[in-house]
Amino acid sequence: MPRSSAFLDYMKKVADDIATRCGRKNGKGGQLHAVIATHRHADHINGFATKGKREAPDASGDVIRSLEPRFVVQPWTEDPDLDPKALAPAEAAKIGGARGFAALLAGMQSAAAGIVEEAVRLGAKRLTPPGAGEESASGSAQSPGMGKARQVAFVGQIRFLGEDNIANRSAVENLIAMGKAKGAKALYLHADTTANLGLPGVRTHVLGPPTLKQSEAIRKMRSADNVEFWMLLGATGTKFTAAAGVPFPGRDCVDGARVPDHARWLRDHVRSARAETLLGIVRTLDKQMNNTSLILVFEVGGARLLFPGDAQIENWQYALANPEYRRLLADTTLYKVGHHGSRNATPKAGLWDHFAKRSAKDGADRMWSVVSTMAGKHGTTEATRVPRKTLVEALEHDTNFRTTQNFERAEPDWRDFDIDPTTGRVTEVEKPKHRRTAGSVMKPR
Amino acid sequence: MADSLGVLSPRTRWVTVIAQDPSVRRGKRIVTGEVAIPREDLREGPWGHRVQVVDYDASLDRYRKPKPITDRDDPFKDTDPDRLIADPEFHAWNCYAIVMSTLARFEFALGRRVAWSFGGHQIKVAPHAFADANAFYSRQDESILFGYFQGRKETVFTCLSHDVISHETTHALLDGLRKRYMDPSSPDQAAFHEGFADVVALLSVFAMPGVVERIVDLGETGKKETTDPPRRIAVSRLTENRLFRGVLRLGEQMGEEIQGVRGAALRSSGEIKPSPQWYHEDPKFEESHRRGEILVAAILHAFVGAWRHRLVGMGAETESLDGGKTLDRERVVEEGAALAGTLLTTAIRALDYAPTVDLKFGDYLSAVLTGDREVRPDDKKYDLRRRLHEAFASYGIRPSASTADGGAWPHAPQSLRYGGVHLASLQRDPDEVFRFLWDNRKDLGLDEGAYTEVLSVRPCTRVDPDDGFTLHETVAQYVQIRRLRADELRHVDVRPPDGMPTDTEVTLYGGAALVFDEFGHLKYHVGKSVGGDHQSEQLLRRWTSGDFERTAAGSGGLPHYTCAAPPARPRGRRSGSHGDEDSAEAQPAGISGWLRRLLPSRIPLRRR
Repeated sequence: MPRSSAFLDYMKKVADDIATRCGRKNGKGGQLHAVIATHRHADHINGFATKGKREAPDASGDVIRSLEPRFVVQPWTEDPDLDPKALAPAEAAKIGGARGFAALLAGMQSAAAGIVEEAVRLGAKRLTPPGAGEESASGSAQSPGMGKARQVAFVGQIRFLGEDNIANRSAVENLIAMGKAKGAKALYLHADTTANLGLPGVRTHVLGPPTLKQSEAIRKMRSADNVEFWMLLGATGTKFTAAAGVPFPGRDCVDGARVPDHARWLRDHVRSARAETLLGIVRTLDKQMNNTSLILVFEVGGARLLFPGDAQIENWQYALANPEYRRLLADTTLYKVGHHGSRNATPKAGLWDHFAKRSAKDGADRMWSVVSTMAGKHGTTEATRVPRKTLVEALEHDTNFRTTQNFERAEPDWRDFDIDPTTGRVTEVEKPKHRRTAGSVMKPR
Repeated sequence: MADSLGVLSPRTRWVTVIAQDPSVRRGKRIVTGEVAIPREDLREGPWGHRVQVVDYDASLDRYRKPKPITDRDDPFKDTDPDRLIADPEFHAWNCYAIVMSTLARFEFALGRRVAWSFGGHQIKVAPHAFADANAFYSRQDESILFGYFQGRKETVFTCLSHDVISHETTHALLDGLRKRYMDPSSPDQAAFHEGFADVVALLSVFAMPGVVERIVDLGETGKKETTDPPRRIAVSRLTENRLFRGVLRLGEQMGEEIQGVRGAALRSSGEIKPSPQWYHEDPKFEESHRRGEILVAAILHAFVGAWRHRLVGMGAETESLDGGKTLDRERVVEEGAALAGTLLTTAIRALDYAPTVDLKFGDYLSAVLTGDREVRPDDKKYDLRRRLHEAFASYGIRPSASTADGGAWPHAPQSLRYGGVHLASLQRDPDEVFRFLWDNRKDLGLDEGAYTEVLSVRPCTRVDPDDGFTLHETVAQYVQIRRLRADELRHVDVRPPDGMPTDTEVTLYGGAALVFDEFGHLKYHVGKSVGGDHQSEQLLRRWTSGDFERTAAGSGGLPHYTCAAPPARPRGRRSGSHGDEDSAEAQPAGISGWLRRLLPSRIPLRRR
């Protein structure tokens, strides 16, 4: 996926900062202990993308790779042995299982690519979302009308979700290569595995994602037919959006703008039906992708640090059904809020209600929460908005809440915490303001 | 098609279509056939009085200009099928012809005009609406939209699949006849839309002799292909097992190029072995699409049973030279196609005798038995009613009406009052029918406190397909709606589910079909009451599936992190399925048989 140069510059700065913190001096040395890619969504792995030219490590992924991480941790679905590319749609459907599932994810990613291509080509003008004036009866000249702004937002949402689901090949390959490098270890984890990350005093619990056998919820979306559906859809999206793939070329066809009057009502309706379907498809595959997220709990002395990636309820279900995990989660000291604070990523009854260290009052043992989010980027209703307002309110009320959203410009976009291994107490480290000057860090876009 | 004297029928026109889809072939040749459609003066498109084909493609934002209408009666007669599938103008014709023939079948079966649900006269059809493995009917878009996609080998055009077109058209027609069948109710009602659409689609396909020929060949030979099948077949070889095997093989062949994807409607239904456990015990069959397949399976078995019955009857009259009983192959095929047509008529006609709300499979069976007995009293030829009865029973479906009466609905009470109503008005005026209901509300067991509305009144003339016997009836339907708080439900004998707050508002739907004879006397009153045990069951199901959470979110405000359903979408589109009421992202109900089986359940599509 093409990213803006501002974004790439920013990721490079982040990577350089990591290098410095790992001991790199004058462009030499330094080692990273572990890299964790929770799942394959672009917003989680774009930082690992490379420039392709090995000799010029000027992309963030090149920098990270040069730090020779000892451990490269990913969910089981990313295991290159599952090799989705080798399977044709029909084969994948027949084989099913983990390989079929990997093929399904790949099919979804190419479907996303096709959808983005279509959404970009058509744009808000020709991809009218369902509008308010649509109840008009047959024969009415009214088309599904709506405000221009909403129209743009609707198609923007399709693009946003679509783009996030397109495979970032260079990042994926970089992660695989780092795991295969000499002295490194690639870990492809699923729920219930023990992950030894070689950190003294730190236990790493893997609560998700469940394997297909472990989770009926994930199975639900994995029927043999679905694999083929997604793979064919992926092939469809990329085939017919290219000019060469148009069926019946040169057959008395005109552009949509030149449709005769009697066909305009239907044209507008087909456009809006299409827009709605596209959004439905990207939402579905987005959710599936999120459910491959690693859910990790790091236990450091008495401290429990919870990192659930973008896991949605279906992923959580497996972990929350296990009483041992529920006890573990209840003692969470720091919660990296799931999925940028969206609706279905922080299960209330199973998770939030049981956090024992929630407290309305400030105190040494009060739970911490951090979220990486940006309001106004995603969702148009209270139900779909990210971050969810009610969730943010609850976090502010019950935890020491830190969000990337209220950083001041002079600050770097991260937080440092100290953990006392004996007491498990978490404290925030003084912000390293001296390392930056005001305005030197650009916000990513 | 002209008759042997070269005279064209003034009312009917026969046009070439792909018999099933491009993957059903005889040898290497795609099987084509002809369907009968009403003759009409077309505009280019084709654009007729009930169907307007518009070849707009939203994925490419492209509109294809149609060719001018020629004076050829069947514009694609004797065209090489390979050329047909490469010709977008033929795609448009194929859609037009099959939508029209499906509509004509409904009108023939019901003996009257059948309206679309959206009020307009012409449904819009887009044969290449988008690049997507998808095809659906949409009430709000007043259209049926067909996609095309990359198949295993080549591009698959859904607009070339007879069963897909028929299936979607049936959704549209059923929606026009019984709007309430899309409401959340029982798993049966949700399944009915799908199952019935598959039944109509498959029987329409079986009514094509070229397709029946494939069934006979595939069942008979058990091999892939015989170039020159024998002209006569021994009756002893035409067993139910063999015929059914032919049906299954056809299912495998339908959409061969993307095997495992296409043809699932026929194949997966055919593979459900007769047993009551699917319907009554297996939770997998609670899901509406799978449940619909039970209906299809029962009808497929009745079809094969009746076909065999007919062939044995014919075989009894013949004797071949070597002493065995044999039948002309063509006659076997002809009988199969004719039976498919008869069964299709019976299946469609039943709709007029089916309740307007909360349909159960047993209700449909009783409606089938009632309607068929009314119009086709002599059933010796196919023994169809007994076979339907038995086939449904083998899947655990019993008629809702008493079996003492053959499973048909009981007649309406004799004591009704007709004093204030006029016959002529009763046959077309909803106000007059309402007057009749009002006068007889006690005898008919209507809920007196409910809002009541007569939805339609239609006079019809039905014809016995075997002997031309005609039957004049007037069918009407009404709904009753009552909105009660949970603590008021006991007034209508409904139990609120445990834990439902007493101030929860619940809307109950009742209603019935009314069938009057030609003298304006009520013959049948088939419906569901606003109250009673069936409503308690339904309410419990809706409650446990979270159907009421949305209301709760609106009033009290649910916490942020629950999995409550998101707000209802505009225009009140609802899912056809239940127990899965994730509202906005509910089941893709408007999608055709094999396609929708592929779709992950969370992709929202336009409602039927």
